[in-house]
Amino acid sequence: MSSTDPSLAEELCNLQFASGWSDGVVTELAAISKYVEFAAGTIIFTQGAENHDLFLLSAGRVGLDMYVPARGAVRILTLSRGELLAWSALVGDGHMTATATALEPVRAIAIDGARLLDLCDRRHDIGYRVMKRLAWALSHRLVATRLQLLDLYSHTTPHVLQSPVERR
Amino acid sequence: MNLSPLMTHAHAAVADNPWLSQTVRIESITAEIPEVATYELAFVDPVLAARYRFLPGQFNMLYLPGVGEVAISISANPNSRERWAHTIRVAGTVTQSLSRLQPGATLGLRGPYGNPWPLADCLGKDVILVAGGIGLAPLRPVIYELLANRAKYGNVTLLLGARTPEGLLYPGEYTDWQAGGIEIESTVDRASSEWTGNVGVVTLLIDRLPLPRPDQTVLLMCGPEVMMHFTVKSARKRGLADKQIWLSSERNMQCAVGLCGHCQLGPTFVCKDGPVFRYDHIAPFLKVEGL
Amino acid sequence: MTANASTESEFFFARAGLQQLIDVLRTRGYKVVGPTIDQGAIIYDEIASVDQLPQGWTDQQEPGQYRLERRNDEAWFGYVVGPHSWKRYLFPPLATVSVADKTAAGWQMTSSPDPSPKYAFLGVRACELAAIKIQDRVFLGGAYVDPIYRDRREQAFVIAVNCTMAGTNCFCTSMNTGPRCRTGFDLALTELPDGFLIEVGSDSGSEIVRELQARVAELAESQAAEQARLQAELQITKKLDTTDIRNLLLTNLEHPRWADVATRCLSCTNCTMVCPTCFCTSVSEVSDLQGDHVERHRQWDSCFNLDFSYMNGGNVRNDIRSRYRQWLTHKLASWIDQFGSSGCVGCGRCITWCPVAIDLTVEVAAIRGETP
Repeated sequence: MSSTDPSLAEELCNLQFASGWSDGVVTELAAISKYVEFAAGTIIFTQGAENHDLFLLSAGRVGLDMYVPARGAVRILTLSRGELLAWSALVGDGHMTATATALEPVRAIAIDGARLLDLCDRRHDIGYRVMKRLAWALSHRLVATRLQLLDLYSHTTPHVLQSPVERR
Repeated sequence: MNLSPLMTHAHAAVADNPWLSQTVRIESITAEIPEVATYELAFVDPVLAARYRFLPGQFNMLYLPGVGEVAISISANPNSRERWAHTIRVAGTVTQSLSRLQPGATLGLRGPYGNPWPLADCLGKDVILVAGGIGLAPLRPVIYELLANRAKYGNVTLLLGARTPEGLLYPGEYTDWQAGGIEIESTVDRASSEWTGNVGVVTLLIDRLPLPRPDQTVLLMCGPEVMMHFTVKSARKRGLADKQIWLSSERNMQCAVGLCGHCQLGPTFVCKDGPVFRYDHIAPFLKVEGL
Repeated sequence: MTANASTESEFFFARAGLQQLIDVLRTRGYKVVGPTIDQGAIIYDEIASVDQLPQGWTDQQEPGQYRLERRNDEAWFGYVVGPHSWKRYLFPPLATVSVADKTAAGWQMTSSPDPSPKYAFLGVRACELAAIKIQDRVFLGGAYVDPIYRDRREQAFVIAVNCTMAGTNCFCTSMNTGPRCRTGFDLALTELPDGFLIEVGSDSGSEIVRELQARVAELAESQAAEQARLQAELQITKKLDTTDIRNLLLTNLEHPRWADVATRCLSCTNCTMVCPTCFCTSVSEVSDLQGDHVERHRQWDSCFNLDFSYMNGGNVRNDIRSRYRQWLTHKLASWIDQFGSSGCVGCGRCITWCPVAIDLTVEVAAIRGETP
């Protein structure tokens, strides 16, 4: 890591995750975070495996794949700077729902999930902010997923979406 | 006779039969993505060929006698002469019949119709083009214009969305466009894990875009209405006002000259008041279901 | 074509003069179209004789109802309006817009060879003059002119007849279109028991009057005509409150009343067919057996037809709610944006000819929040 890299606390704010929070809170968050780097092609975690860190992407893109038997890996989403990865570490059971692969050299802030949850439990004001941020990220991703589901660019109407010929 | 005074005025303006097509010949057919091909058309009459001009964003009515007419946006370079490209997806009876024709076949053409993209408003500004699927076709003349006069515009970014990597239109031209100073970001709805590009909706690309001067940025978009709706939401979050956003819309255009009533959307006739609209002008009507 | 002809003096001719008027027009090559009875209704068709006029008949109208009844006099124009309007002749229900022929050099397209008839319209009501003016703006007022309408309109000779009675469904006073014929005619008649009072609206009108055995009207005749016209105005009871109607409708696109009217509306298209201003059309291809000669036929269409809004494999207006809303908001609101006036002239045809008696004035009042 070069000396010009922003400090963890600075970067947490730059990435909108902790922007607007008090210095004290940001310092507490930085204390349970660390920078991590992945070379292009690295599998960051695999579907079904346990992972206890929440990642906040600082540079590089990550592909999320889900494995479908007989179809292989299907890419669901790609993530880049500012986006959250591995939210299951926080609100799931710690088992990952997809496989994450670094598509380019990736740098991220890894936040220790157990310690973050502990911090949220102790300090509900921080917990509220963290959960609000997480909810925003998930709702954003939900809308994006719905748009993918609509299959907008297909000119054959998906079967389930066909409306009746006539309704009153 | 007692005619309202505007009759004489209008009569002087256009004496021609707006329903009348002119003969064009298919010069070449280029397969693009599955079910999509680009047809280069040329007027048989050299006088018409020399006279014909269009502005980026306008469309023509293509006519196959015995089958019908269809509105197709012009995908050619606005500075081109003699041949005019139309990128066409097989969607209905006319486009299906068209897809069975070979170079040398003739058909009818009338146009150009409709309002163009606001290129004058883009001078000196950063320009974001958002294209979903075949929505890139009506934006291609804009790209040619931006490339031809690149210095007159600020940053130019093209955001492409498609169903699959194979659905990205005009892939052979991206290198030229990038070399000419246009940033290109693409994303697809679904892909295998071999695909190293982006996966996800095109609106995510707007969320990630560096936008140094949102108040000096113009966004032009064309694609499915739902895509455009969410593009606006993302653009607003990034500080763009509705009046900085323009879209090309689609309705059932039949006469192309505001006389048949089919393409109405609220108070507008998409054929003559559009197809390019400033978002704030059309927004109240776009969001109403079944309007 | 000039509008500066003298309208200062009114003329009068005896009842026998009406046949003379028809004859003069026919001699000058006009096809005279006037009211006549067909299948129990007063319609507009080509006539040669006053005997074809609906003499002694009147029309009794209610929402969803139309009946002819005997009058207790022998008036020729003692009715209001029937299912036809003059758009049938200026903007024909079926027309050929272009022709394509396959030649050795490929397809060649030409304009339709159909000649444009030269019509004289007898019996045009004030609301119908307003409707013609509205269609003038639609077909002639923009950058693109409809040649079929233009050619017929330029040649047409218009004889208005002032209403001397009103129907239950008439509301021209609300739309400022009648009942008095003020402009837009070559001649305007007012029927009196012993003859007609004539006003001249154009040079060609005054030319025709010179060929009739007409004299300058006496004051008593002018007063009697005024009285007869006033009677029509006083009989009008139906009202449409047009205050800020454009914004009222366009800001109420999700009003529950649209769903309510959709439970009654059959989407039958009657209202659009009888409306004197509705102008929507579709074009179909008609080819010979070999497919080498193809005509493009334009016919009246309606926004109530399901496939009217067809686009890319689907219909935008999938339910009756959205189709009725399209019709009414276009007619009364967005028409103002498009053509500078309402698309409604208050003739009441859409109310009369609606098989389930939907009354647009009631629907607007409901959206306005007034209990009918």
